Amino acid sequence: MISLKVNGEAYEFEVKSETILLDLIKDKLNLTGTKAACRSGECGACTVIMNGAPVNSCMVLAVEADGSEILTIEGLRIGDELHPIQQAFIDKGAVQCGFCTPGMVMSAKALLDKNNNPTKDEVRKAIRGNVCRCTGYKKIEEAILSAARNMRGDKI
Amino acid sequence: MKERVEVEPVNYIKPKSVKETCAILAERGSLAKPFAGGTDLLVQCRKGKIKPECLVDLKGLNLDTISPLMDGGISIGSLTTLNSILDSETIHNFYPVLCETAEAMASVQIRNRATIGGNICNASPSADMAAPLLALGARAVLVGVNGKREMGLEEFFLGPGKTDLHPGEILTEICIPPFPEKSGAVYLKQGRNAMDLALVGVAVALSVNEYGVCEFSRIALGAVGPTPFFAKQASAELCQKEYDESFVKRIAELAAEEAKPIDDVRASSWYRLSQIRTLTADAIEEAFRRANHAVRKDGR
Repeated sequence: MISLKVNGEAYEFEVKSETILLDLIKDKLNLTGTKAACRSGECGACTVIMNGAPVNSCMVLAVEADGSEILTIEGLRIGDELHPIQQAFIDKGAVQCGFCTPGMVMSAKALLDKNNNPTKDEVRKAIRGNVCRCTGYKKIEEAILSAARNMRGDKI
Repeated sequence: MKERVEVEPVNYIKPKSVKETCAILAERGSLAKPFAGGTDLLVQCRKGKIKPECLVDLKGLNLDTISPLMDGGISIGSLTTLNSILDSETIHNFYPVLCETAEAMASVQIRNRATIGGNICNASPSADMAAPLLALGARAVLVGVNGKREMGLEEFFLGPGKTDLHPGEILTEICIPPFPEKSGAVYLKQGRNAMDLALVGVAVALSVNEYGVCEFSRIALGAVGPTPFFAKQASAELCQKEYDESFVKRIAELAAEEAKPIDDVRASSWYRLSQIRTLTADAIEEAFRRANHAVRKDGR
């Protein structure tokens, strides 16, 4: 039996030892925004924020998440509004097929929570573990920098 | 809804003490696997390379602290994550090469789980932490049912994926000796892309006297032999010398001669040899530069 918080709500689950956090999120909680792709920690599509740190949820067993706080892409909304990072991805054209997007946004959120004024280099390092096959990364980088400016309240 | 299970059914135990952990591992032998960050272990399970009956979670053992040692060096707990190393002010001040090495590894997400102990005990020939730790003179502290023992890291690696861990033993800490005042250490890694393992890794640690003459030096190579190793001849040649570009090229050539690179999916052996020459020369140059400009951060 594990207890954990996901997007601010408390839950308890009976899990098997081999159950993976990614599958718990998608199957038991029906939070399908987090994506399953490589299942080996290489692509970042399954990125969630666990106790403030971005992790590949495919590489975390559910039992390891006992007592932790998880933030998924669904938890970013502010009331009925998109989070500034999500809005920036749309505004800057950083979404094509959208499959990498939740993972990218979570990596960006983790970065901006720690460092609200990242350089281009720091943005690239932060999303190094997130693969995108569509965009070529440029618009994603611009979206994250734009979101950072917006969240700092800088006037452009 | 059918629960998706990617790993074979397995038992999971999270012991509360090192003593309990060693007893479990000794009793169950190879059927039980020590489980730290899981970033290598779970992948190996999913690929069917290993089929453990039991995962023994080491994360409840408080082995994740970084603390100063009496001799002026530091101890890094084996369960310290790579990002904890990257963010550690202590390590940044005294052994910045380890922060740089951590940053060169994998991704933020992996580094929040992967541990220094896991990287060492997985014993990939290209383990990024290995070469810089070897160059720094690191020692491995092992604890088992028969007590504690310590060894130089160079004795710990026995072959690809093989270490000197006896049944029932775990690595509890890595101890690094203090570095002389004017010293510098560098790790240069060549990979195909940002997330790649090293296809060549070169670590150089050296200290200089007031005239810029090298007093002690260690060159360690990764990914170009069955284990990470010291380039002993190249290291010895560097001693008692000042930085000189053409001389350094000869030392890099010596290092290449000591390596046994293979052809594999990441690179051919001739490319690896070529990169050993380039990276060793670059690393020596940078290590001299750091040593000559070094200022102690602890006020001693």
